[in-house]
Amino acid sequence: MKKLISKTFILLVIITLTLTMFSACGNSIGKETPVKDSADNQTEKNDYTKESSELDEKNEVADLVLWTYPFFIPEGKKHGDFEKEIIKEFQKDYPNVKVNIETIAWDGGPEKVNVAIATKSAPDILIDAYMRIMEYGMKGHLVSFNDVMTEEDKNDIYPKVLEQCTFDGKIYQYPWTSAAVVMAVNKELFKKADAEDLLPLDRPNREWTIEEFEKALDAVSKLDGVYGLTCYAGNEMGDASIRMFIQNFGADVVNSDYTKVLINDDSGYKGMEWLVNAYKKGWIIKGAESLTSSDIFDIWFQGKAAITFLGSSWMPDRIESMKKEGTVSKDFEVVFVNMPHAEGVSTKVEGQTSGVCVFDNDDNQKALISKKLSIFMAKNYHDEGNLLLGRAPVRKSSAVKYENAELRWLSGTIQNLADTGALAPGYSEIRKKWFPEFQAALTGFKTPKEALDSFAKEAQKVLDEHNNK
Amino acid sequence: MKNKNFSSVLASIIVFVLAILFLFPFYWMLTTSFKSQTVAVKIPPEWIPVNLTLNNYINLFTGPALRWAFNSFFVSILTVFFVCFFSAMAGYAFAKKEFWGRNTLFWIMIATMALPRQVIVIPLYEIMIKLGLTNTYESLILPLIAWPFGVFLMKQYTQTLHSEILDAAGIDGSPGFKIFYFIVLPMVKPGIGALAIFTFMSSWNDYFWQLIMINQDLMKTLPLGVAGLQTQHTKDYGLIMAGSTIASLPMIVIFLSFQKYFQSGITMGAVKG
Amino acid sequence: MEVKYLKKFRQIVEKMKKGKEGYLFIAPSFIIFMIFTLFPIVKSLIISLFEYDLSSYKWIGINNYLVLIEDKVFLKALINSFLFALFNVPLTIILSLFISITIHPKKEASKSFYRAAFYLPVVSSIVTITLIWKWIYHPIFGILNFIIENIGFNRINWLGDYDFAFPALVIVLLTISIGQPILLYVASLGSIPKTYYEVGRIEGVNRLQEYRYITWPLLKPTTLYILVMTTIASFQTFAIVQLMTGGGPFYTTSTIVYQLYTTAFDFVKLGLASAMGIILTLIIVLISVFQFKFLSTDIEY
Repeated sequence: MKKLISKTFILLVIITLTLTMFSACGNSIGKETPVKDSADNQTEKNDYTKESSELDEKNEVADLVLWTYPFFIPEGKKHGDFEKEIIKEFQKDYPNVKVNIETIAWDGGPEKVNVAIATKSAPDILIDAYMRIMEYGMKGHLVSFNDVMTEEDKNDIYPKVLEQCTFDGKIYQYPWTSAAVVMAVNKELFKKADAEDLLPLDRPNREWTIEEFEKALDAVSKLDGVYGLTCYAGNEMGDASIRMFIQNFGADVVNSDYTKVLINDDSGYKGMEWLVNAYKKGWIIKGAESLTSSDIFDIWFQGKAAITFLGSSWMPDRIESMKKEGTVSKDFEVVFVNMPHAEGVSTKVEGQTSGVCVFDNDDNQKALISKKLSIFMAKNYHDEGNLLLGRAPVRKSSAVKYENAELRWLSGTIQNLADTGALAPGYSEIRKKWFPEFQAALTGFKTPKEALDSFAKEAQKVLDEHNNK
Repeated sequence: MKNKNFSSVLASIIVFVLAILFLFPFYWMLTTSFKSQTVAVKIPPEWIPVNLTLNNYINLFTGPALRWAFNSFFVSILTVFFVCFFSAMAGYAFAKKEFWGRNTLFWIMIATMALPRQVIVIPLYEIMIKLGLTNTYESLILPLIAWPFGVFLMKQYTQTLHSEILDAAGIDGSPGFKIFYFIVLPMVKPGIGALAIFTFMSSWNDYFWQLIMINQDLMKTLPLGVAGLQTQHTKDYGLIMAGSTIASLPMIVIFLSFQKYFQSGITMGAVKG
Repeated sequence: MEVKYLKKFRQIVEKMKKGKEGYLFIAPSFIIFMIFTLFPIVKSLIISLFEYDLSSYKWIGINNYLVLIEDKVFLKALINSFLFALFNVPLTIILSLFISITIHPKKEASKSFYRAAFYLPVVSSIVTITLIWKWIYHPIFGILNFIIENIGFNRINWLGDYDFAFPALVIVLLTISIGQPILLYVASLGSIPKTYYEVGRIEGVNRLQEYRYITWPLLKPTTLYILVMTTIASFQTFAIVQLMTGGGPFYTTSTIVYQLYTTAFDFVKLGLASAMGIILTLIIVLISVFQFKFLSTDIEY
């Protein structure tokens, strides 16, 4: 008996020890999960025959931390590989600059950055989308690129793109790629409805008026079990596209210095009313008030709705692979079109630029070399980056030309970029006020005007609160 | 007499129908998990699936699902171990040891039990960030060890033991820990069993706290990972249901094989608690 | 004077020395408890008086509470939390009592089948249950709408309709709420001595009277426990809301805990969120005290 007990005791001790060891190891797993790789291979031996300015570069010593989201996935390679290759090239000129790359996940990555900022352990360089980058910039966590960008360089970037990168005259994001968000059409359904000619495909800009849009919706909704348009109010995701639809009636979301919400003017009311009426008429998919932006794609892929919001560059590829899997109709054909616009309003396009930013970690020398590396990546590898993502170039000098006609057209729309108000202070809070009001309007709980007014009021409150800080 | 029979038969039928209604969601989850997206969204639906595919499971397991399962089990088992061991120790001391401030300390612990856990998440979040523990197993385990329910349960249970046995052992001159380990621990085993079941379930279902602490894909628990499947770019219902199946199957199997213990564990938790 | 205090102090030290072992035994639990439970509770009260975003504290007194009293969305969430409890608690008790009484006289095999059927939602994690129901409720592909349409009704957008979203969530909450009570009731029923009923039968009471005068009084302690536990759980409804509706449509399904979560972790307004937590705590404590005080008086142990 005693033996048995002492055996159990020993067993228990062993279990405890293993478990604590495991937990320690679990800890280290937790901390090192992001692919951490140092690309500090010194590829070339020092070459002293070069000029003296380059000699200075060779002597630059820095230990940089670069965080990136899983943007670039080169065929058959891992996240971060693309960035690593670029850094290797950079190190040919700066052999003593070490860069630690860490890939952070989309899901939870933003929180990680926020926590890092709050605990003063932010990376030196971050590759991200402009909305978040600019938020960091506005809160004073970034250094600007103004001092290292030449006029020539600035002029090479599309002005609307540069606008998204600038706050208060300071360029916080060095732009790399941009993604236009337009409407995507299931052409097969229009063929079935014999209504192909109602689409604005023969126009170079693929612009159309609300009236033309209505005709197309009406024609295609006549098909059995098919709605004209997807829509969603289930959560805050993708909300900017719905507001961009309203913006195409003429309204702006906020004024240019982000102090006043403007969306509830007459044209805004008209836009909101249009959406609600279209829902009542059965042009918009039933259930829109509780569907989310991730629900609508399946509805569209399955041919239950002909036109969808949130059309963007990932679709053509995805549809090809879905055809192979047999999860989408064999004749499915995607075409992109602009959102319809009211008479006298020029087409507005929603778009997001992504790029590189440098954190202010109280080290000027480090910041400078970080900026040089950022520009090296986003400028020298501008075309490669865009091609990898199927995205739109941000530079006029770009040689990117897609074989796919849809991607080619899409990348041209970036010049019509309009402001979604995403840089307004407190935007993340403002957008959470949107979908409940939109739900209220769609379900008839509020009139379109009431809902839009109520949203504007709430948004203004958030704006004031943040501007007064 | 007839009347009585009729009403009890009616009640039985109602309960049977209810049971079917309760089981149907699981049936629907299981069958959807074997359907491809096209079949899953077909109308009319395939009530009994004809076109079965394993793709959803293959997709899950080539992804991080196995890691999620490991995380879930690892965290829950470790939590159970520490909660049971520490609570048994503290419960024993509170029940059988004399020391200054015993009642005060015990009541401080018990008083906090009435509070909802949500009230501490914000300071706890702050602490975890300061300690650099976000996205770690510790961050999921420590708050559950700190919750005093186990101490309370074990104190109540240990109190029912006769002090004479313990005193007799004490006369031998055995040091305290030996008495606890060799005499008390075996005697409170049923209590520990009940506590283990309670703790395992609350750790497994601790979605709110896990959601706050974990945002790295590889550190997610099963429920977190599966919940994340529905926020992906497009929704694949078969995949989401396959994930749900994997997330619920282990617990269902555990429950079915230890049903008796669940019954007695939960009852004991209620009676003592 | 001083000598007296010193003496007392010495006595305490003496007592503490004697109880050394006791302290050692409670140390692991108590230290972790202090750091990760006690301290956060106190800290939560303090944070609720500040404007705090992880990087800077700003003292604003009770301003957070004043903001909440005027915040329509929060008040709506507060009312919803009450409504969740108001609907879920009675339904849970009635349903689980009915089921338990019905299955209690059955054979062990079928008893355990029923127990398992009703307990599955509890063990299979709240996330799973929520996701399954969300799939069932899907406005376009959902099985429920298919059935509804086939028996001649119009499709309903279960999670997007003002009248249906809340009940739809209550049903999901109910399915995860009744498992535990059924186990408890079945156990309690089993522990009622058969002689009670035999005496009743001799005196000629009918079935209903039997429940009214024998079963129900004896189940009261169990019922009280279920009442308190289900109420607390209902007030803490979160995962269902977060995964199913995000509080919609137009905040009809939002709850305090969901508001707390978005305020703290989406908007990083930690002071405001802490104030919500304190309010939730006060409500729960008050209700539990009330329930115990008024319902335990007529319980015969």
